[in-house]
Amino acid sequence: MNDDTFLYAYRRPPDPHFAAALYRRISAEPRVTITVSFSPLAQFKRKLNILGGALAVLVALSPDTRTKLWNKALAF
Amino acid sequence: MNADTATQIIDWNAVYAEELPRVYNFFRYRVYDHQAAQDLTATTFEKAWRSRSQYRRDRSAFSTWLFTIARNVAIDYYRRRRVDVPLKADLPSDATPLDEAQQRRDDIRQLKRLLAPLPSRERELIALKYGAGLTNRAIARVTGLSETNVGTILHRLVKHLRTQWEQAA
Repeated sequence: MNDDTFLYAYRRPPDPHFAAALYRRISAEPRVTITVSFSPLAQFKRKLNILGGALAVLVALSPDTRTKLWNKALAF
Repeated sequence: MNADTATQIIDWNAVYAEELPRVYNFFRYRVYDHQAAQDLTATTFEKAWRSRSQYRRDRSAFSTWLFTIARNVAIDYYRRRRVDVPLKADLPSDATPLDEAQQRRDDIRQLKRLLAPLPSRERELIALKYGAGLTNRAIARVTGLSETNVGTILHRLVKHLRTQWEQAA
């Protein structure tokens, strides 16, 4: 007997009926996969894109930009 | 894993087949009761399934994440009960030869006597090592102890238990 073999004496495989029933219960949802959340780099890129978009909108709607556009329209 | 990959899909079938026996045996060693071990295993997998979107592969291995949940489920169980559940010797099936069945019963009874008086932390380490079959490194990640500390405690513990086991035999 190995040094610690006796400590495995209480191990036992789970009951197959229990295993099957539990699996059915937890996989009742349509997808039987785990979706892992975004990686930190991907999250950073996403946030950068959102920030860039917000800045573009802000600049486009600024009084200075509107005045320039208005002047251009009048000149035309 | 590609860092730019937006999502990673984990094969739940494979995870379930691999981890279910480990989680179940962790609870057998932790609570010493077949029915309670099944209930707590179910609770663990249900919690893991519900919060699967929170799992971050870049932070920990899936088994570390799962056993962190299992560990908390065991802590909640004992917090609710406030007492340790006595070990029940699971009777071997009818198909087991009589001598073998008797030997198994004796081994389980003897193991109960050895493990029952251990402090909670030591029993948890035994459950993670011999029930779940985790490596010392994985146990360290789940418990927050250092790997060296886990190795030292388990080495001392096994030596102590082996001496008692041999004396009883």
